[in-house]
Amino acid sequence: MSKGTRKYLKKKILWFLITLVAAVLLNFFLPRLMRGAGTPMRFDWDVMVATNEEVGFDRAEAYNPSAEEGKKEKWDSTYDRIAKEMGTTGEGENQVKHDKVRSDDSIINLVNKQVSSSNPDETYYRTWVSTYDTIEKELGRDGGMLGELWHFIEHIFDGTFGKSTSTNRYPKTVSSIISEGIVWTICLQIPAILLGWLLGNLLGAVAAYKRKVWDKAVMPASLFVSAIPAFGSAVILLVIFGINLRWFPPNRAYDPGLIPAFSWKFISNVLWHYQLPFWSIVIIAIGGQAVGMRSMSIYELNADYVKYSRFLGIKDGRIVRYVFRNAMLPQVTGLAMSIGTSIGGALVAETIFSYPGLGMKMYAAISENDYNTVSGIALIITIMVLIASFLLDFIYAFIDPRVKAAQFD
Amino acid sequence: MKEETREYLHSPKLYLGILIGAAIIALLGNAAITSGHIASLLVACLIGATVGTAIANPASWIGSIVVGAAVVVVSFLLSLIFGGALSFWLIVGLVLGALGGVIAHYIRTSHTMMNVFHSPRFVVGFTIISIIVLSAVFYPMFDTRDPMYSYGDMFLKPGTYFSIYDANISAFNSTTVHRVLKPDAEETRHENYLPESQLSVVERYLARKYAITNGYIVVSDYEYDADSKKYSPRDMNNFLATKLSAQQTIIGDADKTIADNQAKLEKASERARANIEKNIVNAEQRKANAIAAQAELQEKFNNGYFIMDSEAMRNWEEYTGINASNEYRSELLVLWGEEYDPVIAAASVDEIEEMLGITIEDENIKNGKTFFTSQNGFNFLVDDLKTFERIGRALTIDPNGKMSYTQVNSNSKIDPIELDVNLTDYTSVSEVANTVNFPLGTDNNGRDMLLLLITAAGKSLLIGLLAGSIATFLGLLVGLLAGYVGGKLDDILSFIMNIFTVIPGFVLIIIIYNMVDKSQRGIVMCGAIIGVTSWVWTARSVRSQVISLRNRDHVNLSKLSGHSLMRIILTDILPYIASYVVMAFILQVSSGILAEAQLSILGLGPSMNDGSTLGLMMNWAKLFGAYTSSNAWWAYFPVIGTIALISFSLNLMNTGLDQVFNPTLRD
Repeated sequence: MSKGTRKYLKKKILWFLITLVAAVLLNFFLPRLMRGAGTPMRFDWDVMVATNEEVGFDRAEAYNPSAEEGKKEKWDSTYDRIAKEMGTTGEGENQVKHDKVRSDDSIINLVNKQVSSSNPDETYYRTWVSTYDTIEKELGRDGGMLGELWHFIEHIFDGTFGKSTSTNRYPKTVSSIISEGIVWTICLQIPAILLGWLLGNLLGAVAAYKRKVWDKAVMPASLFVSAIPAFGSAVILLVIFGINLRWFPPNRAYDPGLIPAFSWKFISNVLWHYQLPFWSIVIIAIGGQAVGMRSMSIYELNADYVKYSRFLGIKDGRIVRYVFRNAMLPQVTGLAMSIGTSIGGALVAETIFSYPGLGMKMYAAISENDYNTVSGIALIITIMVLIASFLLDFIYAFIDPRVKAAQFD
Repeated sequence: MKEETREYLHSPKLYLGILIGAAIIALLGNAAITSGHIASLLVACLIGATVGTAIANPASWIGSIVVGAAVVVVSFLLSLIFGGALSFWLIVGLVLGALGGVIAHYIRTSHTMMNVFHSPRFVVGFTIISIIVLSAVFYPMFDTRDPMYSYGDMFLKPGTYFSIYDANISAFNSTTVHRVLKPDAEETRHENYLPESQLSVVERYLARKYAITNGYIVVSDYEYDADSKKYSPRDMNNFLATKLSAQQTIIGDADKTIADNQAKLEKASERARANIEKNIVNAEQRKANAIAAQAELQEKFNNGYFIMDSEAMRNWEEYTGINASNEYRSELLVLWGEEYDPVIAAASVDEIEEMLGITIEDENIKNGKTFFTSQNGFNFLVDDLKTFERIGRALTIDPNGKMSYTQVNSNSKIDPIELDVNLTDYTSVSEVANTVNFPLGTDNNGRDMLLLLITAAGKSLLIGLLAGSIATFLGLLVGLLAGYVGGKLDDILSFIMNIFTVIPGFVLIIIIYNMVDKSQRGIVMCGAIIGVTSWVWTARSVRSQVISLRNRDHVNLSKLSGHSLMRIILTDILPYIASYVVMAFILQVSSGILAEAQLSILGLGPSMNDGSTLGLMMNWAKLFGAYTSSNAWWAYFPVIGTIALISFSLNLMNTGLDQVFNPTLRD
């Protein structure tokens, strides 16, 4: 390792670390700026007590969805009125808070789940508050924004990323939510992108080398295919093969009746469900890669070193090998970046096929205002992209002579 | 600046062209403002800019048209973004039109620009995108319907015709008359075409034909209020009351005459007595007549004789295929007399049952309350009709010739009844009067897909253009500063760029989008958010290009000459990366459109009520089961196709430009 390379790597590592810290901070703050995130709910207690007294409602039943419909309705309307009288509802933010309280995702709902209905009146409030405080503490919300940040960082290091702030998943840790989804996303995305990348490059290289019919046919076709949006190819495949021909199941990752197990039955079922989302990604990737590879190859084929090699009398096959190796370099960059950034397209494709990947988790988390999970997923993606680009820089330092030369500028 | 261009800028020809173009724009634009229609303003701008440019620069008329079209598109987009101030945009159009001559000249004299138009890829891409943009701009001018108007039926097949005559439900035995007004009902109303005298011709004709007292038949079933310029349903009870009270006045007058005359009779001489007695007899006769008339009125009213509505005439029009426009109305009256089947129309229920060999189940017809419409004549010919339930149904004919009626009553309850009526019962579908055609079917809400798609493409392009402009501007700014200034500033900016690169852009858009209140997510907000989050890669590439330019001799020379930073960037660096920036801009537009579509599919699309975007249309198709339950391919496939076509043409333009600017890539 030369001195220049070492200096280059040192600089890169420093950048990596600084960017990582900034990314962690950004991923912490941005999701928390989403509307309604982290609003304290305790103000609602008084309204709730007053409402319950007026309606004569059992407190624990207040948010119990199984409560008698009429009773619940009455409670709801009284709640609305009293909340309005006490000024805890109204325009703008208060309305958001209010809606939040009433929705099933509210902290009150969480609290009510934990408070037993047999508690005597006096202790009820205390239990309520203490449970509320416990949950607030568990979510790291008791110490203000800074405390929350510290809590966030602390849980990055213990690998849990904190707990979900959505009632549907509350006691679950963010890491377990991520690990549920990430397997599906990785198993779907990486093979699909790799296959699309391989086929696309092959097609592009052949088009560049053979020209004529290949080029005339492949080039516009790839351009058009690469222009189809990810959700478009997903919908087309879904409708043709999933719904009309019924060759493949149109949604989910496996039949709802099956229990995930390492058995042939389960795996074959998963593979069966895998086909449509997989090919919808492959088709798009092929088009994009073919276009890029073709123009890179043509560029290299016209380069001076190719002409020089021809003059030297080097065999065609050998020249072609050089050419494509050089043309591949930017394509490798494209591959690494596309694995990281494909999450956007994957998110949409996953929602169309109801595929339980990271995209669906992210979407659910955003719609449920589960900002801890949003932070966690965004951070995981960020770290993935960061590592990919860092590895790329690292590898380039060794394999690409041009980068090496640039280090001495 | 090139000598040629300098000369051109000083030529009187250019200014003459600008003046003439501006005059045309101002004249036509003024007319446009008074008519209040934005479309005509655009036409005015197009004509003005094209003429002005062509006069200024006669050698390049293609360039003139291109520039003229660009002026229109730009002024259209500007007016969309900033809304109503027509006169302001007239001035903008004027200025842009004036610039047209200069730009067209530049295109003609610039070698590179001409080369661009020699690249087949660029030309194909440019043609496709021009067609899309121009149809998004011009189609709504010719089809001024509201794209969000719902015609009432979900997912009608492409090619479906939908009869929109103002179906009225005249419930004879109820006091109210329900009417569903369809979009062109106002225009097809008889009162719009027939003067009062001709209406009365129809009334008299019908009265004679059916031996009913003159004045008992009302052709117009709507009353026109000249003050509010509105039609309102004629209140039949009120109508009866006025008719009755008219007779009552006669009775009152007669009574008064009788009383007067009787008073006179006592004092009158023998000779005058005979005359007075004659007066009294006459008055009594008038009174008796009026009372009889009142009774007849009441009886006829109870039997539904008053209704000779436009419905009958419309059904007849529909049957004969005559779309009664203004000039045909008087001929229509003749035809009406010749072809209307009086036998059927006048036949009693029993006679009709005997003639058709059917049993009439409809209570209204049975009670003889509807037999005064042409309904019966119409139904006789459509022999598969089982009943006479025809009133108040909107007619739908799909391409297979299947006809169905949809109940359009006041509760807007949709209750389609499929009747086995063959299309051959009509000479041709096009002869059915008052229909809308849906070449691409309807969407989940019964909107015309074609119109919606074209307007949505315009809105999506606008979002793409906004996002692309913002992203390119920011990217260029940051890239130039980071690349040229270097040092600490470069470090800071590169750091920001690195962070933006590693956080996935789409995730960032979603998160930022969620911070904005839903009511504020318009087109502009959507474009701005996408633009603000996607400038990074433009900045990166601009930066690396600027770094390679920074140490070129001409830049160093400029530096040594003491030129300012702005000047060096503008004259020594920007021209060298201009082609690259244009290409980056095109790609940004395309990815902006895509980002909007993805956001909308997730339900985070812009909220608006005057149209749709391509993404919103995909979202609706998904929400209303167009893929699955309805299997309505026309609700999403054309949308995907349009998105693909837009990005395809932009990519094609890009590769074309790439070939022109990078000679090594040429074939």
